[in-house]
Amino acid sequence: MMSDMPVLSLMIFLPLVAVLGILLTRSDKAAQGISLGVTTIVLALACYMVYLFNPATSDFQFEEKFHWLPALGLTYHVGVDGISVFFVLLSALLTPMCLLASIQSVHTRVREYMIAFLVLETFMIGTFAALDSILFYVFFEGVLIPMFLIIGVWGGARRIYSAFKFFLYTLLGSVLMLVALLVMYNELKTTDIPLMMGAALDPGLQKWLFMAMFASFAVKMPMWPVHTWLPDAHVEAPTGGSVILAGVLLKMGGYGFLRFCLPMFPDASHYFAPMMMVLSVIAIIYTSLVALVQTDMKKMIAYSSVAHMGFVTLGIFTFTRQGIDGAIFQMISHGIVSGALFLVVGVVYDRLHSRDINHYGGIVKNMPVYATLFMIFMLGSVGLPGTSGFVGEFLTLAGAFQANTWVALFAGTGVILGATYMLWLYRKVIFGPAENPEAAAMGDVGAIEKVNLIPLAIGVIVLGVMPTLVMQPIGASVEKLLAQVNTIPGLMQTVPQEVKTQ
Amino acid sequence: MTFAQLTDSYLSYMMPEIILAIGTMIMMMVGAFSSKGGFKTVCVLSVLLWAGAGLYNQFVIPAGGVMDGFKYDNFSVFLKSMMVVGSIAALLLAMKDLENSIMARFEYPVLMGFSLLGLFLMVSSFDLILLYVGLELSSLALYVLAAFNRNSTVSSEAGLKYFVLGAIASGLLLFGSSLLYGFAGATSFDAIQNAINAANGGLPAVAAFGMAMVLAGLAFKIAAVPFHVWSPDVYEGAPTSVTAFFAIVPQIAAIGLIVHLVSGAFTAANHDWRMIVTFMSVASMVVGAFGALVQRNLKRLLAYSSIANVGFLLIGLVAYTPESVSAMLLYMTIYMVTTIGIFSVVLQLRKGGHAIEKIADLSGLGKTHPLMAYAMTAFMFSIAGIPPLAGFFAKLAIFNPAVALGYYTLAVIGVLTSVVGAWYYINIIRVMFFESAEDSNVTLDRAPVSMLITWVCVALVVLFILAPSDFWFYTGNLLEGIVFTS
Repeated sequence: MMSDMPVLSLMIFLPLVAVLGILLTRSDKAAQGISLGVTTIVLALACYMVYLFNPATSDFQFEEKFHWLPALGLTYHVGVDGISVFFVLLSALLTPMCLLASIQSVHTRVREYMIAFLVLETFMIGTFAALDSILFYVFFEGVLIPMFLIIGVWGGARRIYSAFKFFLYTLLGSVLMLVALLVMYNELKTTDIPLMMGAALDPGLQKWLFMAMFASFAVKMPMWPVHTWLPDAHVEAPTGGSVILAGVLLKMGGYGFLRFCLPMFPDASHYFAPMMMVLSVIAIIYTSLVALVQTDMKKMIAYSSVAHMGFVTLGIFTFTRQGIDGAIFQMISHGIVSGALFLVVGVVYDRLHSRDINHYGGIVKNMPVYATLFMIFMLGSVGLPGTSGFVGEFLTLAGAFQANTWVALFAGTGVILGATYMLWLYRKVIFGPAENPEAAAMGDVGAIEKVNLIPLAIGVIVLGVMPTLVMQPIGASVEKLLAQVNTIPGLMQTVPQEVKTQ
Repeated sequence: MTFAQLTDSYLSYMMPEIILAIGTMIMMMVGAFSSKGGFKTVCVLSVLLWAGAGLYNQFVIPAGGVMDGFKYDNFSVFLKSMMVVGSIAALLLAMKDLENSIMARFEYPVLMGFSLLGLFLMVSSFDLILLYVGLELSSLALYVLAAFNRNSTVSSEAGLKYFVLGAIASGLLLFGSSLLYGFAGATSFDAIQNAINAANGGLPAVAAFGMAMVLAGLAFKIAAVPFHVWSPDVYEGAPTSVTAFFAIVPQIAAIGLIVHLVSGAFTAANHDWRMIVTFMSVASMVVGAFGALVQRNLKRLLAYSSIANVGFLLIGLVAYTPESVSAMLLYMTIYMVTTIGIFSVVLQLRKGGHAIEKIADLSGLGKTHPLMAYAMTAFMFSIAGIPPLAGFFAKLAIFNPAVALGYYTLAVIGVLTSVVGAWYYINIIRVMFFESAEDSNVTLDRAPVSMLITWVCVALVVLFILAPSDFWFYTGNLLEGIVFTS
């Protein structure tokens, strides 16, 4: 099944080649052409990789490994397994869409905008593909540079505050993770993630390492109470930035928990699981309530993201098959749905330059296609059966029910609250009296917007009807992860021979 | 005596210093007797002279050892080459700036030459006398350089402050040296080492006092807290081209000297000096990070940034293993490249006939001079330690040995202060890109050489990730002359 082509490296480095191309050109049009072309090629490669992906094995596939810094034993090691493969696809899918959406909305510094997104794509795919912990960190934290610039240069009125908050919050979390990674390197003498997953660390140390990693991933996720950077960043970022933030960057937190915390610190994961569940439930209920009172469309979707991510952490820390399957599915689904919702908001924002819900109303008359697409994504966010959102929420709740009935009960109220605010948003914006004549006079979605939104809408429904498209490839890897995390505490696995001899 | 015989003799080990000493004196004559001030001639000749001394130092000197209190191991050779590169860059960057002002006088490169000579002696000193001679030679030249803009009261004040505080530091150092001499009966590092070893049962009080005094004197040179108060004032007051030299070169020599000192004289007392260095490291990181937050002046900001970076650098000294000292070399190199880059940008941007001074002067630079702004952005993200830029690898290399030895608290303080530091680095990016230029009178004074230096530094900072070669992470053969305890 393995292909000889270094698919992952191509996907990681092609965008950088495109950056060189853009630096050589002076025209905005050419820059847009180059970046769209290259990101589309990357997307094609990602599809090809998923097509070749062997769902039967839990091993890493498409592996590439080169020496990078032999003195410290660092390697350029990339590969994907069931847990990461769809995140790579998601990153590759959303980037060209953001670039496409920017053609209509970004008119200043177009070349720089393209460069920022291409660099961002490199870092995103690299984060999900990296199998060396320091390489992971380089990509994971490197994301801050383009994202900081995207929010700060092309963002809205309070962009400076938001960009700083985003940057410093995330940096504060990640540097603690760096210390944890160095401690693990010195304990295990390896930075190779597959080897680190097999190694058993002292349970006392695990707790410290877990907390350091938690600082990073919880901020990225974001979990309550460290979520406050997210509404600001989402609201002020340009459409493309919001899409990537919600669609991909938030997933890095969940991915980090699955890749590092669970397999490497099984004892600490069990120890902290009650705390994680409580925080998740608080996030679900509290941020849903906050979302209810928002009048800014982007802010409402941002708070709903925090609530949806609460389901992810809830699912992960049930340590059940349903919970973790559901968490991964929820992340993929949320990547599509929230990315699409920000694009949908971007459509009307480009026309009216307002995010205030009260400025809209009655736009269904002139924008029927828009209303239909918006409805699909709204229902996906609500979690209506038949959309992708349902599968993730249902599975995580099913997992939570096995772990703790009360947790499941409280989390379940979040689903109801979610329906409340999303339906209210939809009613106010799409239906309702056409009080604002400008809003009522807006034209329907154009060709570019259709190209962006229709595939995502199809995705929401297809995943809702056939969740097995995702469930089957991730199955083997999730089983392996469960085996790693559910070793009986106190009866530790022995350190693999390879680790010992190094 | 033939040249071959000469190169075999003792003198050959000091040849770079001899070249520098005689050459710089000749420069002084050239300058004094040339008709039109001879600034440019002396600058060009000085660059050639330093390059010559540097090349001789790097390629001709035989493998290292110690001779009569003069250490010429690979470690010193490496640091001297670094200082030559830094000095040449600082002078090349300064030339255009000085020509535009009344400071274009031949004394400038001559003073730099003498300072460099002193720093060379410091790096190589393995004896308290030579240490003091080198330190004073370089300091006296630096005092004059700080006051070089004699028409400006601020510059004179900077020179005076530097001199007064520097004299106190020298006094401390001398006092410490005399205590050590009284304790050991000799001035060579070896003798001190032997005396400490002979005194079983820990470090005698007199030696401990002496060591602390000497370290305090040297801490002044690297502007480590609590001996840092001079640095923001001097950075601000001195002409910007002099500040560039201050920021790039002297620290290298002082750090090299401290390593030689603890390796040669105080190996047995490593518990005691580690306590001192740990305190200085933590205090420098904290003061550097928080002190910079309130600065409006770019040069003061860079002074605090330098204090913070010294704090990070000293983490390597606290750990004091071959890996950590290698990491210090890497850290200093990357810091030097980044600092050269920053000053190359700052010195090319001019407002009202001077290099820019205020952070606000950078506002809207992303619009008015985008290329300079991009370069500055790369330097700022790098010095903030954000991957994938070079500065991240410097921090990685410094923290790793500390974590390996279990200095978790130190590492955590380090990374947390680096987040505080990140605020003021990205604040500069904010000023350049997120704000529109209101009344930008800033002009770009393009100098081809400076431009080249800028882009070489950008390339080094950005592309370091491609080849973080082993050399930087375990510079084994550079450390042959250094004694480690464990």
